[in-house]
Amino acid sequence: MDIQIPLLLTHALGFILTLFILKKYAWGPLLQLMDDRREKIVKEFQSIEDGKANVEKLTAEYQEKLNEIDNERREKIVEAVTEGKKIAEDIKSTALVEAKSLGVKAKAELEGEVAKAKVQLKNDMVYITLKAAEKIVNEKLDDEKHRQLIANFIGDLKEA
Amino acid sequence: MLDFIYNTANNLLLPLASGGESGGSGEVHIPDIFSLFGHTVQYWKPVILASFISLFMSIVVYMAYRKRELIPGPFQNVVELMVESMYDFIYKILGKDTKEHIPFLGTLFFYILISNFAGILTGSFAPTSWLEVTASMAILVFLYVQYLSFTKLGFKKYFFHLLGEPKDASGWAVSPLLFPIHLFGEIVKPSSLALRLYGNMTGEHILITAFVSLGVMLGAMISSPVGIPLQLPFMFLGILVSAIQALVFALLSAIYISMALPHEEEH
Repeated sequence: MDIQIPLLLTHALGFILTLFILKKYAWGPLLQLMDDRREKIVKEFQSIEDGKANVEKLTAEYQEKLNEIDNERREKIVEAVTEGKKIAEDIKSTALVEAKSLGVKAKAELEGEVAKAKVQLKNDMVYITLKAAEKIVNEKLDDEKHRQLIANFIGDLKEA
Repeated sequence: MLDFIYNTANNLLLPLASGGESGGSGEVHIPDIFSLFGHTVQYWKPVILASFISLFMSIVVYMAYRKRELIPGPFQNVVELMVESMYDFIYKILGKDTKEHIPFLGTLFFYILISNFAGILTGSFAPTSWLEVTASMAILVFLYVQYLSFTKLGFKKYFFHLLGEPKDASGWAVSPLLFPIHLFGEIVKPSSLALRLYGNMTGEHILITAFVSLGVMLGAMISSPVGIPLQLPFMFLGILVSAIQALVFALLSAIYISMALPHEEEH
């Protein structure tokens, strides 16, 4: 079994040529392309992850804002209730004061009316008494004298 | 049984064979398209078929290269799948150095694989069943490894490595004995690559040829116009052997390269 050197060398040369062609057109560019693709996919995934993190961050911020708004709303409601209670107290106290003054005024008016009624009653009683006395004595006296006489009589009655 | 098959095949086919062919052709030959041509074509037929294989590979990769897109089509997908599978396989051995050596190892693997398959597909012979073809690739592996050793380690370190990397007096004492052993080992490694591939592919070729001839003989015995395809199971076996041999050649070459590269403790 002899080894044919020309065959061996020619084949080696052919293989080297194939190696160069494959290196130029297959291994280099295709591996580079696959690397580029891998890098792009990694970047895309990273971008998606970043986006997700960003969305989560925004959601957290949004939730925080919502909580803040909720707290503010609660505080405002509490404030409004307190204010309302205060106003109600004011109204109540004002109403009480007014009612008291009205009562006092009404009492005073009432007392005035009573006094007036008493005077009226007194006058009516004087008049009735005069009329009665006139009829009794059937003697007509001077009006001023009558009034004096009856007033004295009533004064005597009060003292009694 | 095998002797009987082999002898029968020899008796049947030797008269048909072109006779006196050199190279790893064994003793039995099935006439093929090259039998129609003269002695010169017969002589160069492994190189001629190897050239066709190279041309086929070049056309395939050029097509994939020309129409390459970031989002690949079906054809590019297939080519990329092969390239990436090979890359991942070699990566397990060479690690971060894979990118530097994948063109050589990948080309070696696919070239041997297609060459081996060519034997089965054409029904004649595989270029790798010629010792000149396997030896030339093994020599290229040897030269590649030696070049790497010199460039990566430097002459002194490489020589020191061939001496067995002695660390003490006893180490230096046995280093003259280790030097020729290591030197011989460097030569034996690629030789074993060449002989293993050549032996397997020649064996497969002879086996298929023997069963083809046996099928022809049995067909003739029952007056069949065509032979009985007894070789079919062995052709399927051949596909398996072809793939395994290509893988073994590339794998061992990768291991030789990794052995030539500086190791972690040498940094």
